[in-house]
Amino acid sequence: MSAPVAIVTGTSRGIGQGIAARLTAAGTRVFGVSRTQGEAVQLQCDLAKPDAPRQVLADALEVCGRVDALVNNAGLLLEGNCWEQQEEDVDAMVALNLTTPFLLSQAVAAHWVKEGQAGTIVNVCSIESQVGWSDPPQAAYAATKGGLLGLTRAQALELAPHGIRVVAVGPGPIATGMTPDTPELEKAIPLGGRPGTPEDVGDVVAFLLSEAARYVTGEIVYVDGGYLLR
Amino acid sequence: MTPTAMTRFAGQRALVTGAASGIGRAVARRLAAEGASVVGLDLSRDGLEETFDSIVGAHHIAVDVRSEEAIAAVANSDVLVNAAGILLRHELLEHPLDGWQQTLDVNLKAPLRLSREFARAHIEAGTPGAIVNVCSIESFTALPGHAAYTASKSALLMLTRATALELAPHGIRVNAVAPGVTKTGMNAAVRADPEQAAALNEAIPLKRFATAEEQAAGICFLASPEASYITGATLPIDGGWLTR
Ligand SMILES: NC(=O)c1ccc[n+]([C@@H]2O[C@H](COP(=O)([O-])OP(=O)(O)OC[C@H]3O[C@@H](n4cnc5c(N)ncnc54)[C@H](O)[C@@H]3O)[C@@H](O)[C@H]2O)c1
Repeated sequence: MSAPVAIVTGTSRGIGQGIAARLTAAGTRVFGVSRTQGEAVQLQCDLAKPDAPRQVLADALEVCGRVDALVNNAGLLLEGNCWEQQEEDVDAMVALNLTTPFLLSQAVAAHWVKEGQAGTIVNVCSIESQVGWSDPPQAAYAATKGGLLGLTRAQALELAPHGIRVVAVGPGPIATGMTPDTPELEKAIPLGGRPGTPEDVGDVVAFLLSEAARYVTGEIVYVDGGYLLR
Repeated sequence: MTPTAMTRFAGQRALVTGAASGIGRAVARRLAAEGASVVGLDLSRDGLEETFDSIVGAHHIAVDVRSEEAIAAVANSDVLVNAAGILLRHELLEHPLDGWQQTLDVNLKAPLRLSREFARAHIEAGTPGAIVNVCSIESFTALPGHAAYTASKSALLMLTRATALELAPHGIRVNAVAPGVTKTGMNAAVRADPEQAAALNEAIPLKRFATAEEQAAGICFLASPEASYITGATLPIDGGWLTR
């Protein structure tokens, strides 16, 4: 059998790049999708466009011949006070953080059901699926990540009869463009006093996609160095 | 009925969305009974008129919760209750995009926009305030055929926590209830089917559905000064559903 194929969104940098690297190392063929170019990007497109999800699936099937996993990683964080943040910013986050995973998962899962094939979806949530973050403020982002966790549960329940697992990871502060490293941040992380790395998240995604996680569905694994313990 | 001795909301103005039916109606009536001057907002003018039938001093606005008129209605309220909501049932693989978007618009974006306006006004005026969002047991669990609803209610749960965190320094409390199956129009069809009703009942430790008044009791408590040290909390009112 040819190597398993995973569609991973948002692979041009940050966590997505780390996930792509770890999956590749584990023997998975990664079909990376991003708006901007990058080493791990096979398809460049704006995922928030309504027809993008179908296009992504069609291209992945054409290039790789099969799809076994989907990692909904692409996300948008726009900071702003909840009493001031502009409508357009909220809409952009709802579109990319919620509607894109909804549509892309729907397209991929429908393909699996049609083919009578099993598959696994990983949604990249956040510690903000569980707690707020006020410095800098970003309540609308937290709402979209809470919604993505709810979507994970709903997808897991409805797709389980088809042998499709749906799980989530919840990264804490990860050293990427999205979260700059600061001394205060380091103090807030019980494990090693360091922010996470994209590879920390990638390893957990690789586990969740692997046979070792075959009995896990609808759950979130926080990858946060103990941040949520405080 | 409402303990008439209670005047927890005397002198307060409250805006209640979804006030034409079910939980929103029960909240509007109870707030009014406890002394609040209530503005009820809903799509249904007839339903609003029925809600406020015997109540003096209440106002109602028959508009869509997504409209600019709804935003304008927030001005001057001390209490905001986001109870308007919709549940569209679709299988996940067949779920239409417009139903997904409509659900997010009504159940998430409308509360977000109303909360923004409410918070902005209170921060400018330097006055305290209380928001109560109506989440669901589906902010924590899932039911088949409810994908958009589950996502929207889970998003509303996090909106509650995150706005509570941001607004606490300004003396604005934000809380939520998570109702279980409550006897309202939203699930009338399900409850009317004896087989489905029996199966649902079986899943509820208290072995019955909630009344809208039982939801209103929790919502009004969270909105009242009695809950002055509570913020960011989500109170399940679910007959024990989430214990299983
Ligand atoms: N009934 C339950 O079992 C249950 C369980 C959990 C959560 N809830 C939540 O409780 C809240 C109240 O629901 P309910 O059970 O009273 O249902 P309901 O259908 O009786 O009342 C909902 C009201 O919201 C109004 N509404 C819907 N869309 C609107 C819009 N765009 N603009 C203005 N008004 C609008 C409707 O007209 C209706 O009057 C909802 O948020 C619902 O999700 C209900």
